[in-house]
Amino acid sequence: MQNLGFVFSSSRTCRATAAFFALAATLALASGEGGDARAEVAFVDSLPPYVPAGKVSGTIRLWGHGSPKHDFMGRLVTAWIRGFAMYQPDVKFENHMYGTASAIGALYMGAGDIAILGEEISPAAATAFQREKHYAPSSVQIATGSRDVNFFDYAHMIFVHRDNPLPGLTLAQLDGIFGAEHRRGPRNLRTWGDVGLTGEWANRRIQPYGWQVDVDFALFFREAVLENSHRWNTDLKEYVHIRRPDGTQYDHGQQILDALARDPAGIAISNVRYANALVRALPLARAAGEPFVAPTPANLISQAYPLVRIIPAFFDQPPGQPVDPKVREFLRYLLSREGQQALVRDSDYLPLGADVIRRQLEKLP
Amino acid sequence: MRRLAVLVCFGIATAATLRAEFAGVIRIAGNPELTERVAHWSEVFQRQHPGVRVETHLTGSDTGMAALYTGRADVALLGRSPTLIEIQAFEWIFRYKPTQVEVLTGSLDRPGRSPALVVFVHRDNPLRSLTLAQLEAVFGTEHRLGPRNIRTWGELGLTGEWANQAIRLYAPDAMSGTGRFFRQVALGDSRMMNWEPLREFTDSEDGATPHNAGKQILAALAGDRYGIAVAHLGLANDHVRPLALAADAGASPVSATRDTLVSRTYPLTRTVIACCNRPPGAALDPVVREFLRFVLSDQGQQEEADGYLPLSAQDAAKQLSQLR
Repeated sequence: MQNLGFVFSSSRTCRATAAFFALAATLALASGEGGDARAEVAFVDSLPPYVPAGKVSGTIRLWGHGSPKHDFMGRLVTAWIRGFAMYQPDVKFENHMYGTASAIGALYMGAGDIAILGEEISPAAATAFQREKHYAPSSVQIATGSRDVNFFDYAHMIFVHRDNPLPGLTLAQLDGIFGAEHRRGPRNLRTWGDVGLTGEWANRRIQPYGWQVDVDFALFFREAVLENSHRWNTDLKEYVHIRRPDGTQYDHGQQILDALARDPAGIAISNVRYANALVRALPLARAAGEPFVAPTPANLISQAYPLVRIIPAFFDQPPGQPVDPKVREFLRYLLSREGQQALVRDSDYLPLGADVIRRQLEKLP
Repeated sequence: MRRLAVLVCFGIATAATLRAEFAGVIRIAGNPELTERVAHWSEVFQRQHPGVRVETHLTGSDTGMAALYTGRADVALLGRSPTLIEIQAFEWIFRYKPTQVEVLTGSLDRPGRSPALVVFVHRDNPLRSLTLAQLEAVFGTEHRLGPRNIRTWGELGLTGEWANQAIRLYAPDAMSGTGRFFRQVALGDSRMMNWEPLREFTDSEDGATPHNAGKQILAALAGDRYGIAVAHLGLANDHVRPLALAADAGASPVSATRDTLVSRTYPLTRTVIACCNRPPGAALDPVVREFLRFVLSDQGQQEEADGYLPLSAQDAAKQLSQLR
């Protein structure tokens, strides 16, 4: 149980490990991934297929997740466009996917029709849209962030040293530990005794590790855990990517878990891709009294895991007006069986769960 | 006769070329606090260059940058530096960074017009000045400029009843444009502040008094002898007194005045920045270049009622040299 973080791997061949963790599931922790993730996504073949609600035409200008160096979603977007064209041949596309940072700006300046972001919208982007248009931007979720794949919006995971006996944490406790404003609870949590540990742990001061607090990863945590407070625990050790002498990048998430391995009193925000034998991931609960949930693909897809991340597609829908028909149909396609199958096949995102999809479709009548 | 004809043709051709060179539209986006200033600049510039039309769309520094990187504006006028995300948004589209030209000094005392930040104490407080290291040690947690944090008035040299009193802090929201500027310049870009004794203030949403965080801050300080506040001049209040700031313990403290802002000897002076799109190695669009040259000229830098201050002659010259 203590080595959940260590055992989670993206290997697809460890059936023995999968069996072991099926057993582990009976001990109130979610089953380990270890095995074939395809089983968890097989449900997409049973999603409702795309049925056009009318014939649409025009040009859709796509902005969003991309960069000069990496082609994050190129293959997937190509597959979507090709698949959609079979149903709606009169819709043309322009690809302007230069990065999440410019995508919302393109929407509110009228340069784009759909902004597919690489992560949740930043408060600054939402504020700017509101300032320019005097109403908020609209969105639907179109993918679940990956469990552990770089550039694919991986889930945030909380790690402690393997010597730490803590069974799990609630969001309120995370807020009390990583923040300085405890919006979710009555006070800051600064020793391990404050989260219920006893004996030699009781008076040990908690040492938090995380990403630099004003970059995108931390902005998500701020919103999801700190209820948008910007008051972080001043004991927090912050990390950014650094370049090694040999030119390779030493990822912030890797530095964080390497540091945690040396610090039994530590707690870290990172991801399992960076884990080592001396750290383990904690299951989390949204509220006290709820079961702790581990970040397995199934729990990410169902959004039961509290720090799941999602991929949104934003569009401009003035209040009282219907969604632009070509935008509506393309988004309905992304949310269909065909769209989610392409997602699974041509990207490292996870699909959306069936009920999540149903809720998104309600926004596109 | 033929020579005359040639000269006349040459003259017409040159005039036509000049007019053609300065014909076109220049689109300016950015901070609406600059509306009057931009209107005046446009009026004079269009008079000087009748072939040019100036279009403006001033809804915000943030929306101004978006107009620039989506090609809807030629110049974005910002009341604060562009953020790293804004620069990245531009750079990932064009593969080079936006060109930044300083065009004005922020105001001395006008809310919302990039006023210089000023540190205040209660009028009963004997303190008259701070070094930048002390300022950082008081408001920050990382004491990058000095050996330790400062948490009591005694650590700033005050005695008697002040010595053991904890310092209480009043400042703009750390994530606002003003708050970001303060953290960048005074706290070495730290993301952390001395949260526990700090009260942060945001502009009220009601719109009745825009840009009023500073006023709220000084009203709070007026009721707190042991407080210290970051705000700006021009917020009349008899209960508070501004401090001068010294670069270090050996330097003379500098008060915020029109002259110390323009000369940049006052450390918390702000700047208005024009961002534009110039590919490396290429010339700036001629209309944009001429407009910015005009803005940086004596005529463009003339002080007006809006409160923005000019650049010093040297700073204007330095910015102009970027535009060749």
